[in-house]
Amino acid sequence: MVHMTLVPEGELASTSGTSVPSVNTHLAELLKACSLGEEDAFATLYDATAARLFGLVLRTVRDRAQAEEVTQDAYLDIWRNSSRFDPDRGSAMSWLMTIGHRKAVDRVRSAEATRRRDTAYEAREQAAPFDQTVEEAHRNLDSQRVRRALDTLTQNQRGALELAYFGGYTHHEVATMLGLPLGTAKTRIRDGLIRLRDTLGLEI
Amino acid sequence: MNTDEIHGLTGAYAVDAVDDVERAQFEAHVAGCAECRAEVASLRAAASELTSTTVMTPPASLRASVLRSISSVRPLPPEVWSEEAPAPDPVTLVTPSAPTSLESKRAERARRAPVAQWLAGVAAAAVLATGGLVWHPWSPDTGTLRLTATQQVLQANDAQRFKTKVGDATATIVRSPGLKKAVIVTANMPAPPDGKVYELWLQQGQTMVRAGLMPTGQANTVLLDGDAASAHAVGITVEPAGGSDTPTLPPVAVIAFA
Repeated sequence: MVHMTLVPEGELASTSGTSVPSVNTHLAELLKACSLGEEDAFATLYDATAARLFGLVLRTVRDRAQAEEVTQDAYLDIWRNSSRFDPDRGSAMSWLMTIGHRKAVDRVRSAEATRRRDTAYEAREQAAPFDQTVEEAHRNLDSQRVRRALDTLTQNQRGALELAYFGGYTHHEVATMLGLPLGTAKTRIRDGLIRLRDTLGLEI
Repeated sequence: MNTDEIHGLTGAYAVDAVDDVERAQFEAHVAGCAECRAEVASLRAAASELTSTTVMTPPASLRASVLRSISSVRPLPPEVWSEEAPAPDPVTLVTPSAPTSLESKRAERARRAPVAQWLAGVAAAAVLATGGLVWHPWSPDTGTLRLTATQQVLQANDAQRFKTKVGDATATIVRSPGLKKAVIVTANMPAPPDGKVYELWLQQGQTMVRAGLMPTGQANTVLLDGDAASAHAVGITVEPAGGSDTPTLPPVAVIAFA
């Protein structure tokens, strides 16, 4: 039996908006259905994007239990705010990841995260298996494409961008961590993102 | 922060690498800057591509938990950008002398239509800060935007910052002596006890003068009433709903201009 879907399941999670616009069109339709209260559409949206969003959150938050809480919180907001998604202002995937990223950053900057991180380190071994993350990511072409694009950044740009995006640090903190004059880190982050955007051929 | 510095913040803002005050400053600026809005959108798109390098399937238990949790939550309606919405055309207001015949009502609806359409357009395009989320709090119509007093303070060249932290909550005062105004930017504020509000005060000499009430919510940006240039400090107290004429002590926080 052949299932007819707009995009084969399982490929959604690893496909970016730029290479396959129909993915984002599909996600945008799902968000529209979510705004009308359709829970089945939300389940499909979750299945299509959860590996991307959870992977991002876990990379930033590091603690698995907290990453699950943050991911759940992000999806709750996605459901609640689905009517505010506007495809004219950016792709659906970008909107979803922006929400997940902000939630992860809010968590790592909160006192709660500090308290739990301190106790978690003593209580158990490092939970997040990063090798597995990398292994899974290697399996998809998008990841390779993005890695190649990242390679076009200078080491300085890449270092600042990764500390900001995956580390959840402010540009002031990044500047201090890298021993840079204030203002230099934000320039590197911006230049790195512009380079990444242009190499990937993204347009809004 | 001058305009060039604000423009340069697009990248840091796109990846949430800004503090609370920078976020408020940037969002105040971006409300009137289409160029920055477009750049942020494109940089967010670039950043979101990075997530393809960290793909990780979450446990099935999370899926069950997420799906369970949404079934008790109602999706929000599309939001109208209220602050920038024009006042209703006085012509369309129903007054005691308003027409009552069917034909007149039809004419009445016709006159209302442009406003209704405009609002519908706004609703479709508007995205708003809600519950500490990441929406773009700018109006879709940027050409005619006037800076609010809050935006003017946040963008003032002589803006000074004074920050305090109480537990997990932060409050930062941005003051412009030139404009004689101050804005408070809060984050992670716990809800006040039932029936209570946070009230703001400016210390003028030895007197605490009322400077407004904080709206509900964990994160707010509020313009303080009164002359902030002559004040020595800002106080935050917990008061009965509606506020008090004199502050209940001890204050939750005092942020001195020093």
